[in-house]
Amino acid sequence: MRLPVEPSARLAGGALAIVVLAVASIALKSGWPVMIAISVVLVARPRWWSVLILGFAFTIFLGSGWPLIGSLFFIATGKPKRWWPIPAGIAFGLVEVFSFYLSDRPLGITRGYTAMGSMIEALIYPEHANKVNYWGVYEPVIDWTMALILGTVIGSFLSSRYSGDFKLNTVPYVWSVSKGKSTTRRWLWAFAAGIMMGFAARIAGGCVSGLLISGVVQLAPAGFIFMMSLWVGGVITTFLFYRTRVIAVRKD
Amino acid sequence: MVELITIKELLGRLAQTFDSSTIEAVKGPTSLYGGMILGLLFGVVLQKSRLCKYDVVSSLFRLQDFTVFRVGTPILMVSVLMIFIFKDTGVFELHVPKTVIVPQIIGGLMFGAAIAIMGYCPGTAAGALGEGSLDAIPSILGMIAGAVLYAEFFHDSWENTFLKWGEIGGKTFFEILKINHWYLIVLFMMMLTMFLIATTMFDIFIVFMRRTFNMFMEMTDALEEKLPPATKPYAKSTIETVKKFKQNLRDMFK
Repeated sequence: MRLPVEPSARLAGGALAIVVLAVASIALKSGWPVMIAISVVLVARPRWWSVLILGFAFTIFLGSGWPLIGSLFFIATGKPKRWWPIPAGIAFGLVEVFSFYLSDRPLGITRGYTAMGSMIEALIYPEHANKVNYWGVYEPVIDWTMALILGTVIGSFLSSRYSGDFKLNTVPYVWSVSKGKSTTRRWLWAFAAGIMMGFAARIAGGCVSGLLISGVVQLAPAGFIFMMSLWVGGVITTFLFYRTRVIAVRKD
Repeated sequence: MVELITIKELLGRLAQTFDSSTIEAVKGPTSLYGGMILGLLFGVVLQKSRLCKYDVVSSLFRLQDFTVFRVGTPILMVSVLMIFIFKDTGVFELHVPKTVIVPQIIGGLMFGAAIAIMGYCPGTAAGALGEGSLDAIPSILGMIAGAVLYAEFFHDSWENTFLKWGEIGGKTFFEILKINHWYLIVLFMMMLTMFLIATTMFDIFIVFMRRTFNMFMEMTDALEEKLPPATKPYAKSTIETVKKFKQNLRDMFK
C-alpha cells in the first residue's frame, strides 16, 4: 500500500517525529522514545539494510547481541511470502518451547483480551469493576499477554511489509465469494462471532494457543477434548452457515 | 449512576493499571519484555505460515485446504519432544491447563462455530490486524465484549453448576494412566507422522485440482479472445459446449 502523500512530506514527517520524540526522551531521561521513533521510521517500508540498522541500534542500546542475530536471521529468511508448512511448523514449535524457557509459561492470547475488558471497565467505572468476582482472577493490569498481543501485531506487520504481502482489505476474498462483498455484513458477522468466541474461550478456559496447543504438547486431556470439539463444531457450522456456497476456488 | 470523569482522573486510573515490577527483568512469567520478544517471534511465524488469513483457515473447515494441519502437526511433534526432554533434564517445569470435560466440550463447539464464521482465532486475529486485514478489528472488539459479557452476567450463576461437571484438574494422561510418559510420546509421534503424511498427500492432491481448474478457466478464456469466429458447424458446437460447461462450473463455485 502506498500512502497518498508526497515522499518529501513523508520524509519531513519522519524527521519531525524523530525530533519530537528526541525532545521527549531528553525530558523523560530515557532512551525509549528515540528508539521507538527510529523503529517506526525504519519499519514503515523495510528493506534489508533498514532491518540491519534496526538490529544494530537495538544491540547498541540494550547491550546485547540478540537483536543483531535476530535481524540477520530475519533478513536471510523473511523475504519469501510464505514458508513451507513443515519448516514453518518447526519454527512455531521452537517459539512455543522458547516461551516455556523464557517466560516459564505456555503461549496464551485470550487472557490478554479478557484483561483488556477488565481494564476498560476499571477505567470507566471502577466502583462496579471492584464488585465483579471474575475480575479477581483477571486483574486490570497491563500484563505479559497484552505485550504478547502487541508483539504479535508488530511482528506480523514487519514480516508482511518486508515480504510485500501487506494489503489493506476489509473483506477477505473467500468470504466475498460465499457471502457477498458487503463490508458492513462481514464486520457485523465478525463482531457477532467475536462475542461468541470470547464467551466460549471463557467457558473452556483458553483459546487455540493457550488451551489446544499448550494442552496437547503437555499431553493433557484438556487439549485433546478441546481440539476434537472445535473441529466438529467448526465443520458443522461451516456447512450450515455457507450452505451451497461452501466451495470457493481461490486463485493462488 | 456513571458520572463524567476528567482526563486527569482517567490518567490516574490508567497509571494504576501499570505495575513497574513487570519491566525489571526479561525472564519470568510477568515480564513485559519477555512477552514482547515472544510476540514478535510469534507474529513473524504466524504470518509466514499464512495462518492469519481468513482464506486459509476458512478453507480448512470447508475441507478444501489443509495448510493448517500441515503446519500444526510439526508444531505438536517438535514441541512435545523438546518440552519433555527439557522437563526430564530439569530446565523447566510443565504448566498443565486444567481439564473440565463438559464446559470444554461446549466451549470447543462454540469456539469452532465462531472460527467458522470469523476465520480468525484470538492469536491470528492480532496477526491479521498487523497484516492489513481490517476485519480483525471488529473481531477483537467482539472478543473483548464477549469476555466482559461472560464476567458480568454469567460467571457467578454458572460457577457451581455445569462449569464443574467432569472436573479432572491439572493432570496429564500419563499421570492419570500411571505409566512412563515416553511410551505415550512415542505412540503420539507415530500417530502424528501418519497423520502428517496423509494430510500432506491429500493437500497436494487438492492443490493440484485447484491449479488445474484455474488453468483450464484461464486458458479457455484466452483462447476465446484469440480464436477467429468459427465457421465449421462442428467447431461452433464444440465452442458452445465448452462455454456451457464453463458457465455451469462458474455457477457451481461462485
